[in-house]
Order: sequence, then structure tokens, then C-alpha cells
Amino acid sequence: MGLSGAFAIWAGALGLVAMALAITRPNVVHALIWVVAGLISLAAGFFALGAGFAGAVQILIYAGAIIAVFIFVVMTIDSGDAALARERVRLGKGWKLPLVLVLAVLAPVALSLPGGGLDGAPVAVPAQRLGALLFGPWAVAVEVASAMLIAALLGARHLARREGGQ
Amino acid sequence: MTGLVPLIALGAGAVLAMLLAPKAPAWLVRGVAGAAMALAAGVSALRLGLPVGDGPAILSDDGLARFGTLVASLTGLAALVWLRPAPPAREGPALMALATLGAALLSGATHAAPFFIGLELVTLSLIAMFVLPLTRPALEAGYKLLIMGGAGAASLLMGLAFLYAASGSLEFQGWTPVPGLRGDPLMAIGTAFLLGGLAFKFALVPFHMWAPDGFEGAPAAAAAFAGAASKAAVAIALVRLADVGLPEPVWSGALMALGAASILLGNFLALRQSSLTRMLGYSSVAHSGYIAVIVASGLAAPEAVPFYILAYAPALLAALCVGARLGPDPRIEDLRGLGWRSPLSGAALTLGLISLAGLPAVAGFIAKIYLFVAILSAGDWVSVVAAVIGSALGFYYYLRFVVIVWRRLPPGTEDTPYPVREAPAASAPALPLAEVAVLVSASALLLAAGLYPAPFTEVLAALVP
Repeated sequence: MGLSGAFAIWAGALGLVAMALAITRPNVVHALIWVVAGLISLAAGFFALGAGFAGAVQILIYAGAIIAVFIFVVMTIDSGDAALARERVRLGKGWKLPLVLVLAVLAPVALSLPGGGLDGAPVAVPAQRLGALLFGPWAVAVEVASAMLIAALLGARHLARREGGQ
Repeated sequence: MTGLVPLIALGAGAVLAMLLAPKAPAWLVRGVAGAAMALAAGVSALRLGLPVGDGPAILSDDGLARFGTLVASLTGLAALVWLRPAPPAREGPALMALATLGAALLSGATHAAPFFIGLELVTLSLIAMFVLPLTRPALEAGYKLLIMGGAGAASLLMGLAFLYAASGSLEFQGWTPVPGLRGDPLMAIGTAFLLGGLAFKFALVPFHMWAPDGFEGAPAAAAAFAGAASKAAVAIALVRLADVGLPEPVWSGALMALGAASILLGNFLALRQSSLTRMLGYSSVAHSGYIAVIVASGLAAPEAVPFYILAYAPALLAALCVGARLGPDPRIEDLRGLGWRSPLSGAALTLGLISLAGLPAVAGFIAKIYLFVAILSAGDWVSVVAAVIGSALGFYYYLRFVVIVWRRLPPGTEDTPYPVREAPAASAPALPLAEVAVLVSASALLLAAGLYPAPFTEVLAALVP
């Protein structure tokens, strides 16, 4: 395992800690900030393993766009001390079953990974190769993905029009 | 590359119908979407028996893909005929073309990317079509499909990620296990998640809750598409995945258990329903179970699943088309005497229901024979018992609806052809020509495939390489 492998493991550990904090914080905004931290750690891991494009997507789209929208939405909803108290009570109970389920799924995964997964130096995958895939053999899937967005757009527009009173 | 013509036609038709929708008259919008579906259906029907064509690496241009496209386009075309949403909902035809495109892509998918995108395109278009009337039941049905479809998509993606991590391949064929290679637990978990996600989309128990609500609350056209076309496409995807050899006993065992549970619960819950559409919703859960059990039994007869689709789709279309005529959420008492007042509606509904029940002389009987041959040759007694109990229950509740169609009304009430509790403006006394065409062709198909199945089974057996 080289330097980049060690860095990837360190980034992954940081990500785990951040995501655990995201689940256990009673304040929703704090929890979302921890999710951002977790996603950035994940992106650092991607960069260290040579997947620069995946890392950039992780930061730009997930941390930058999606979670940012979540934070804006949550901040527009007034969550005062009552919400904090309610979250504290909810976090106090009912965490055991989900934890057991997560471990039941993750344990065989961790045990079956071949040789720790980081043998040798990571191979960098340039964005050009992904682009060649998207515009070559995957072109049909990309085109139909745009049709998927049209379907979502039509549905959202139809639902929103009623609220406009039109 | 001729295999791409249906996909291109459907995509172009959807975009054109969407652009025309705000200004153009409604008949033109429906005509554009309908022409695209007719073109897709015609091309697939003409190429049904041709050898496997070449195309993009992630799609297969084989008989199954053409059959799936044909079923989806014809269902879409039939549903377009009675897509009569509230006036502002002009998006209907475009959404129907998009859903057809998704089902066509899904039935050709041999790769994780078109598989997932096809499934999600069908689900997203269906959600939008479910909420078209903007009534409370429709919004509830759409919301349920949104939440459950989202959970299903998450499970599906998780499964695909595990399969990719274990095999390094996104192609279905790359998932064939290599003996002695590490990563088998990953494959097994991936298969379980994949099946969980597919069960949501296929409305298998315990992930079936959206189906009865959707059939009851959503427009009949959207329900018909969800029940017939999207189910056919998922069934074809299951047939393709069964060919891969995903890890046992997870694949067959879980599919068999989900199927048997769906047969039992779907039929039991349909038993006491007094609403025609809700009964059809639960019956669609049961029929998903039958198809899942056939796939889990190892597909000894390659034409079994296509023939089941051929028997199920027209029967459901006929029943829902007649139901849509009777107004929103038709009850069993609304059907009383329907056969005497509108013989065509009564006959089509009767044929559809006895085909769903699996009685002789209609296609459903042959489909049931395929079902029992498949599970008896597999020798799994749990599913045999489930199928026997389910079929017996089916006779009861389908025939309950058939009998009342041919009961005479009390004297003095024969005047109105469609005595609905609250007569909707859309239900004209006479059947429009397009609906007559749908009912007649569905009935003819059911009778032809039931009385003389040999030509159908020959064509369908040649579909599967």
C-alpha cells in the first residue's frame, strides 16, 4: 500500500466519523454540515485512488448542489428548541435495530473484499475515458436519461400549476 | 441499427407531443404520440421473427426486446384511446410516449445502465400520469408510487453496486459466477438487493402496496399501463436475469418466496373487494406472483412468460377499459345488467375476467397450463400449493363480477346505458369507435390465443434464443 492508499484510508475514516456525527447530531443544520464534511472526505478518497472525475462530481454535485439545497430548505423551516428536544428524545431510543441491520449487511461485505482492496498503486482514470464511454457505447442510455428528466419535469410542472391557481 | 427505430420514434414522438401540448388541439397531440407508438409497434411486429440484430453494446435487439416493445407500444396506444384526464392535463400523451419508451428500453436492456434508466423512466412517467386528475385518491396513489418507487430504486442501485463490486462488470452476462473466485457473499447480497428493488417495481408482496391504490385512484389509462406494459417489461428483464445464473439459492429461492407470497396475499385481498379497479389491482399483484414463480422454476418452456404476458395484458386492458367507461372507481353494483345494456362492454369484460381467472376457451387457460407445468416440473411444493389455492380463490372473485354483468336490472331502470352513481361528463351513452376497436381486438386476441394457441406459442418460443 503506497502513500495514496494510506491517504485514501485516512480520508475514508474521516468520512465515517463525519457521517456518524451527521446521524447523531440533534440540530438538523449541524447534521447537514457534517454530511458535507463526509462527502468531501469521500471525494478526497476518490482523488487519492485516481478517480478524479468521481471526486469532482462528489464535491460539485453532491456536496455543492444537493446538500446545499437541503440546507437552504431546512433553514427556511423554523426549527427551534422544541425540535431540538424532540430529536434528542428520538435519538435516545430506536437506534439499536438499524445498527444491527447495517452491520448484518456490511460485515460480509468487509470480510469478502479481496486482500484489503488496495494492492499496488492506484491507476488514474482520466475523464476522457468516461466521456468516450458516454458518447460511444452508452449514448442510448444518456439520451434516454434526458427523457427521464422530461418526465420528471412534466410531472413537477403539472403539480405546481395547480398551486398557482391556474 | 434498425432495432433503434422504435426507441427513436417514441422519443421523438414524446418531445413533439410535449412541445405541441400547450397550444395545439388535443386530438393533434394525441395523434402525434399515437403515431409514434403505432410506428414502434409496427416495426417491432414486422421484425419479430428476424434474427438477432446488431446495435449498441448495452442493448439487445433480439426477439424478447421486440416483443416487449410491441406489448408496450400497443398498450400505450390502447391507453391513449381512453386517456381522458381533467382539461388542463395536456401532458398525458407525451407522458404515455415516455413511459412506452422506458418499457421498450427496459425490455432490450442487457446492461445495468439501460436497465436502471428504463425502469426509472417508466416509474417517473407513471407517477406523473397517476397525479394527472389532481384528485385526492390520485395524489395519494402517485405519492405512494413515488415513495415506494424511490425505495425500490435505492435497493436496485445498491444491488447493482454490489454486483459490480464483486464481478467488475455492468453487463448482465458478466455476472455469471466463476467458481472458486472470491466475492461470492457480495454477489449474494447484490442479488438480494436487486430482487428487492425489482419486487417494488413488479408489485410483489410485501412491496405491493402501491398497486391497488394506483388502480383505484389513478386514471384508468395509467393503471392499464402500469399493470400491462411495465409489468411485461419487468418480466422480460427477469427472464434475461434468470439466464445469467445469479447465485443460488438467493435468486430462485427468494423469487419463489416472493412469488408464492404474492399469489396467496394478492388473491386473498382481492376476495372481498367490491370495487372493480381495486380488485384488479390486487389481482395484478397475484399475477406478478405467478410470473415470478414461472421464472423461479427455471423456465423449462421458453415461451411461458411471453405467453403469460400475451394472456394477461389484453385481459387487463379490456377490464380496465370497461371500468373506465363506468366512471371513477366502479363498484360491483354498477356492473349489474351491463351485459344486456351494452353487449360489447359486457362480453369484453366477461372474456377479460375469465381469462384472468384461467378458464378454458380463453388465453388465460393456456397461461395457467404453462404455470402449472413450470412449477410441477420444478417440484417446489410450496409454490404448487400457493398456485392451487390462488387459482381456486381467483375463480370465485372473478366469476362474482362476471355473474353480475349478466344479471337483469329491476324493471323500469333499463333506460340509461351506464347507470353510474354520479354520472361523469365524460361518459357518453354510446361507446366511441376507438374504444370499440380496443375492446374488439383485445377480445379477439384472448379468444384466438385460447382456442387455437399453436401459432402463438410457435412464434413466442422462437423469440427466446
